[in-house]
Amino acid sequence: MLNLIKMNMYRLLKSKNFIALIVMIVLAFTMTKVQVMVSNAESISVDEQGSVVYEVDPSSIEDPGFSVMDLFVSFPAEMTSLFVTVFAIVYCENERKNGFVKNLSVSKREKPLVFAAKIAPVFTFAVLLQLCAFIGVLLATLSYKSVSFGDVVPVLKYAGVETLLFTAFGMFSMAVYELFRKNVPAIIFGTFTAIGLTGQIVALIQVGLNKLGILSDSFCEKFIFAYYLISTRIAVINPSDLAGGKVPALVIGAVGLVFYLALGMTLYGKKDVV
Amino acid sequence: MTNSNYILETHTLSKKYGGKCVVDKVDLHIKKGEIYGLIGPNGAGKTTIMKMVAGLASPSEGEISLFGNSEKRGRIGALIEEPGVIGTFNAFDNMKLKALAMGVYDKQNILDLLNLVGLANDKKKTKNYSLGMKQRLGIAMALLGHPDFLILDEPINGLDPLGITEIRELITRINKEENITIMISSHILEELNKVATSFGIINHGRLVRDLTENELKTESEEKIEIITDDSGLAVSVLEKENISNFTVVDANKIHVYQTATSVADLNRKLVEAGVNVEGIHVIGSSLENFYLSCVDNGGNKNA
Repeated sequence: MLNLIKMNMYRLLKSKNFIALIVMIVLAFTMTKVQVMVSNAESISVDEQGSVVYEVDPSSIEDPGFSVMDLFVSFPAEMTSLFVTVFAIVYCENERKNGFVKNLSVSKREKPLVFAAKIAPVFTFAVLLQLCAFIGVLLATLSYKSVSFGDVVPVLKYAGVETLLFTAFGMFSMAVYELFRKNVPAIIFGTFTAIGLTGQIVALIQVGLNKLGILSDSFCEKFIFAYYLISTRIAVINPSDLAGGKVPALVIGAVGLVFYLALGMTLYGKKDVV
Repeated sequence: MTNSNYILETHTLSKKYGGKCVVDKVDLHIKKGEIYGLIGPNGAGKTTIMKMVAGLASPSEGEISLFGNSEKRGRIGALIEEPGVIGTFNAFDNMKLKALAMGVYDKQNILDLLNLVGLANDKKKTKNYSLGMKQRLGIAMALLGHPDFLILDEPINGLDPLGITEIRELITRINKEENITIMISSHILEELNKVATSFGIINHGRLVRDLTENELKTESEEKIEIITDDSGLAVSVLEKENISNFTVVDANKIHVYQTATSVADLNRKLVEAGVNVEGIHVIGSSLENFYLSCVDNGGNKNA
């Protein structure tokens, strides 16, 4: 297992495509933050000739009214989940498409471990995403004269829980890929889940079951299925509410990670390597 | 079923995909030190057999015994269908990836293997490699970890004549110098005949013939087939004429190999001796004809 993890890390960090992806993500984060800040600072109006006028309040350059940490946590988690799902599926698809996976399975009889070892690149990617977001925020705030840093500790805790949830979501995406063994349906399903559509479908199903009388009103008040999905938790938690529901997000992340790891290992072990 | 002389033994090995049997009760026996050629047309089941032996696919039925033990697979190297290299990495990095996964990373060993396949000084990305170079790299990757048994699935497929010669020489060298048993598949018998020491002919998932090098030579060389209702008398005529290189195929059929006697002379002598010759003709003029006869009639010797 340790050997497979070493191989995965070497493959990940040696890949120029991966480095290019990280640079692109930093730029995407920066641009998004700049856009958020500009929209906060400017006011848009229409003059007498009917032209659109953009006005920037000079005082907002001196004191934007938010901290680096505020900006860090304000990034939409759905977008980060999207990066995770695309990375996870493309990572699996690449080794299968070029046949490299056959080298691993020949030398390692314990096929499920080949899947399990992929947790290392997914976790690394999740950590790097947080770093990218932080670097993106720092770059975006360069145009301001003074921006306070904000309270670091709660944001670090938040980033830790998010990293666990992203890792679990990455393993979910890899398990989905192993189920379909095709990148298009896996990416569609992963994307739908990342942007919250799966959560909405689960909520609709629960409403339907409630209306049919299969689930009681009191049960539905106590348990909202969609809240137990990793993708939902990723979106709802924030530094002042790290749990995001009755069952803490940390537990949802840990259970999800183990579940999708086991699912992926089973699928990988049972299916022939083709 | 296991025998310590065999590197690989399979017993009624079968594989079904969606109810369709692609490998049907195959019994293979590969001895230590052999180069075993698995020959068959496209879709015959060669790759599926190799995948099962390499552990990439699970048999639907039957057993596989490697090195006298059904659980041992660590000493196998395999190149199945394609070299399986990451195009954006160079040869060394591809080798290193596999070595790390196997826990056998040794820079010098990788350089030695790349040297063996003639890629030691090549630094370019493997996506820019020719097919021959990729195949050689695939063989080098299969040799990582010092395997005792190498599985090569169509390693000469798509190569130009020079590439075929290079791979053929490499395979022979690996077998002789490293003492590695090799199982190699192809649909080109002429090519396999230049490297393999024993052969299995497979068609429609079934092993239709299993032959040694000498048996293949005998089967595929030009011979005179005599059909008679009195093979005993015919044999005595052949012996009287000092023709010893023949086999009695069955009660009505005799094959005569490498004789200076022409068909007409032989026929005359048999008739003069009172043999009722029902038919006499030359058959099996090439390896290709022999192979085609095997895949056409399911390998029935007497058909």
